[in-house]
Amino acid sequence: MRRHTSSILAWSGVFAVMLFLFVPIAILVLFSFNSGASLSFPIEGLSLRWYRSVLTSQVYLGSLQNSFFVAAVVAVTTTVLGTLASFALTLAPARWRAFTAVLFFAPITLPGLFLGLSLLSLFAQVDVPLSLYTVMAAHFVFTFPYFVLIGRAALDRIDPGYEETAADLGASRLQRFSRVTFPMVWPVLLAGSVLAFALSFDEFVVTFFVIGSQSTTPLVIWSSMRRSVDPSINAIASMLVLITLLATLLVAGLVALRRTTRKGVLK
Amino acid sequence: MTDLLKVRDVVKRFGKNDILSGVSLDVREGEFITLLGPSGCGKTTLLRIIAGFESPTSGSVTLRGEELTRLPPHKRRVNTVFQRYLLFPHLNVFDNVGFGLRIAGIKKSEAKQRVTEALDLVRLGHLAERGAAHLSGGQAQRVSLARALVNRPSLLLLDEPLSALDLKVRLDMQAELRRIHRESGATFLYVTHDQQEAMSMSDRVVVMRDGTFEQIDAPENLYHRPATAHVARFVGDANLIPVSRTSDGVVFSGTAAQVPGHHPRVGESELFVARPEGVRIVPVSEGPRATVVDAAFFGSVMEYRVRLGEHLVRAHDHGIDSHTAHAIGDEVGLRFDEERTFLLPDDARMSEGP
Repeated sequence: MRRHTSSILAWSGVFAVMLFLFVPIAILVLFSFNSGASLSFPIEGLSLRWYRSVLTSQVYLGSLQNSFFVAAVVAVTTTVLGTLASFALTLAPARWRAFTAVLFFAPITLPGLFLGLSLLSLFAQVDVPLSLYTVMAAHFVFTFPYFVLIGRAALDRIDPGYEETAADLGASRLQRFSRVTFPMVWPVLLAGSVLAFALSFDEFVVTFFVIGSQSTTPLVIWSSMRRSVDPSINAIASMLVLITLLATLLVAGLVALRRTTRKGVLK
Repeated sequence: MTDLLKVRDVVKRFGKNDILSGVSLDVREGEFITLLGPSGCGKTTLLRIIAGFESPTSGSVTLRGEELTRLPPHKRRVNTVFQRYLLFPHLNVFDNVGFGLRIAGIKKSEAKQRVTEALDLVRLGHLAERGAAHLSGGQAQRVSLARALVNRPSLLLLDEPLSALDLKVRLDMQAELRRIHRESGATFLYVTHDQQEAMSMSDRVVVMRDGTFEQIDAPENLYHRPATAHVARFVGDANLIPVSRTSDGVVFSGTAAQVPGHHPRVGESELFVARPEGVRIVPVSEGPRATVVDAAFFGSVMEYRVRLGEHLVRAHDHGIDSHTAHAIGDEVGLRFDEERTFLLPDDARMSEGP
């Protein structure tokens, strides 16, 4: 009986937290369909006018295009270099691995404010003009460590016996990677690149410091909120939520697929 | 028969510990040879040195006269079957077996035929399309055997391939391995800690202890003529009774009972070794006097435990009618079959557990 009441308590706690997490998002999505311009209840009616205004605005569309461009380049670069780095780290001696783990953690824990400021002064020192390319470089500084943490964990969980078996059957180091290790971890690496894309796509603080004359979507949202409260931001934010949600579902789907079809891959 | 593999004075040292302290072995073409010993005796280390996963501190390994010691594993004509099967989970049974052929660049049509033959050899032809994750332990181990044999290795290494399987499957697989060894004609170097497995399958067994070889011999010789007390203890059941010398000859320690036969001195402290089937229960007047302390029925055999002075001795009685002949507490006599008993020096070491 007591166990029953305590489980009710636990579940209502979980429910309260979920409510706190998702109600703001629900309200945002709700207001993106509001026909009026006010951001308070009651809602006047349903309409797609804010979506229309976003999709016809050169500023918003241009910023979306920039954000996609930046995030795509960051995701691809991170995936290629991160995969190589994760694999190299599995071959490194244990002492090295512990040391690099600390190094890789630093950019993730560092507040974006410091990271942005230090990158800005670095670009100024070496005379690199600020542009979308400096934004990509800046994003790479924190997406790369995230990717390596994920990639390394995945590679570490693979039984080293598979590599030995492949070597025993005549596979060179490169063949072992391409025919055995990579086919076992690619879903995790793909999840890592989707994460890198998502991290880059909605990054604001670091971007703010190192961006040039062009703008990414988070920066456009921020600046349009400074001038006046433009209800279009509800629409564009809802679109961002949708994009992020789809990416997450894609990753979750891949992980689930891997669990069901690859039983026994992991130790 | 010619020697296929020559292991010469191989030493493997980790820090201050000698895992292998200078072992030498000749493996003959086509034989089934087993490294037998408790965990930590260095048997797996020796196998990994032959496969190329570890390199010896000193010594050499040659295969058909070719020096292997510095060759990486993927360049050796040696294949391994592991205890954990390690089938590639992203490939089906057919592609797992064909892995080595694909790496070697064998033509598709030939590869297909060889994979089919290998799967037929392990009697799994019907599972070719099955995913590697959807096999039972016994099936998985057959696939991993086919995956190794399909490459026609000069030498097949088997690292405790049956220890992850259930007892029933394990016994079936022992017979299967003997058949596959016969039909494939390959040379098998097998590693196990299970003496029954070693004895029932091998042409020769290498009994290992603390990084050294105690005896290399055919199973029957190990059983009937163990070279050391350790071999007698490790291979088959044995009574090992300490003896002492008196002016009259050799007696069981702490008793006045004479040890049968004439025995020259073999060492400082000596052990009388008798297999249980070499010990017979006879009327009190006909042999050293002992007391029955336990009797257990095993179907084909009745095992008595009798107390001789301070020693417990096991005696096997295969007579069908005598099951009820001796009750616990009975005074009996013992007769030792002289053909099956001998004296060996006591080689008990401090490091050895019970």
